[in-house]
Amino acid sequence: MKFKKGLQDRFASQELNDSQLEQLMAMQGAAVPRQNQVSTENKNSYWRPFAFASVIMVAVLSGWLYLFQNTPGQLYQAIAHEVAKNHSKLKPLEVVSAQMPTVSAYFNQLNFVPRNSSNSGFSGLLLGGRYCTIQGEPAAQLRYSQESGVVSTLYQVPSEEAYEGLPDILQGQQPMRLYSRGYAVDLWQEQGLLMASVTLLEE
Amino acid sequence: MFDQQSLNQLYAYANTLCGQQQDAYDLLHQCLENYLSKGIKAQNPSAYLRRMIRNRFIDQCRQQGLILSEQEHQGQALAIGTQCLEQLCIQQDELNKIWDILDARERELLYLWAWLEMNAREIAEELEVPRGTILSRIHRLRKKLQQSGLTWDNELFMINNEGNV
Repeated sequence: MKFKKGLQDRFASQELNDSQLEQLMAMQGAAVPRQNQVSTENKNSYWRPFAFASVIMVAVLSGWLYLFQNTPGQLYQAIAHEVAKNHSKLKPLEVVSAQMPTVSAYFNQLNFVPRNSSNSGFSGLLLGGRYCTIQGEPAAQLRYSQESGVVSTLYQVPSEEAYEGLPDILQGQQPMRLYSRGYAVDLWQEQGLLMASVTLLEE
Repeated sequence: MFDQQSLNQLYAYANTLCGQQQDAYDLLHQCLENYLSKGIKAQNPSAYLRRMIRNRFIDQCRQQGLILSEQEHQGQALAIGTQCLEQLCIQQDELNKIWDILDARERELLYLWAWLEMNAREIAEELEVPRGTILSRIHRLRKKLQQSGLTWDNELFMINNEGNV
C-alpha cells in the first residue's frame, strides 16, 4: 500500500463525534446573524434588499478609499504582520534577564534605550530581548511571560512621521488593535517610540 | 461558516499536531471561538484557522517547556520535492507504529502533503518558511521513515528517474 494512501485513510478516519460537531456548529450558529427569519408583520420588507445593497456599496467604497488613499492603515497592518511573524518564530534571546536595566544596556547599537511601557494592558515577567528590525529600522524585541505562562513580545523602534496617526499612551489614548496570524497586535506611541505588542487572542 | 467537512479537516489537523484527540478538540474549539468572537473575515478561513491552531499549539508547547525550534542544517542534502515520499510503501500495521515515532512537525508535514495534497512550495507558503527548509525536512523525514522499515516502490522510482536527477 502506498504510504500516502495509508495516511489519507488515517486522516479521513479522524472525525469529530456527534456531540463535538454539534457544539462547534452551534457555536457558529450563535455567532452568525440569523438571516433566514422573515417577519410577516414588517410592511417595509420589500425595501430591505435595496437598503442592504446600499449598505454593502457604502462599505465597499469606504474600504476601497481606506486601502488606496489611507496609506497609514496599510503601513500599520504591514507592521502587525511583521511583528506577528517574528513573534511566531521565537528566535533565541540574545540577552536573558528579568531586569530591564540589564536588558536595556545590551542594546547599545540602537539610538534609543528600550524601556518598560506605561500601557496597563500589557504586562508580564521580562525574560530578555534580542535585536530585530521593524520596516527595515533597527529595533528591540523584548520577550515577556504572562501569568498563564504564555509568551508575549513587545517591540520598540523610534517613532516616525508615518506613525503620527497611532494613539499616544501618555495622552490617555488606547492602543490600536489589529489581528494577524492568529495573534492580537497592539500599536501605540510612547515617549518618541513606536511600540507593538503581540499576544495570543484572548479566550 | 465552517461546514462539517471543514471542521473534520481542521480537527484532523489539530490532532496531527497534538497527537491526542481531546487536546485536539480543545485546541480547535478555542481557536474557532476566538475566530468567531473577533469577527475576523479571512479570505481563506480554513487556512487562517490552521494558522491559529498552529500558533496556539506552539505557544502551548512553549508554556510546557517543550522546544519546537528547528536547527537548520546548512549544506545538508535536500529532497528534490515531495516526489520522494510518493515512492514509499507501507504495510497497514506499520503505519500506527511509525506515526508514534514522528514529532509534531513531521506529522504536520505529512498532513499537508498527503491530506491537503500540497507540494513543497505550497507547504513552504503555508508554514511561512523557505522552500529549502521544507526540502530539508522532507529529506530527514524520508530517512527516518526508511530506517523505520518503509520500502521503496522500485518500479515507480525507476520511472521517475528517467532522464531526471
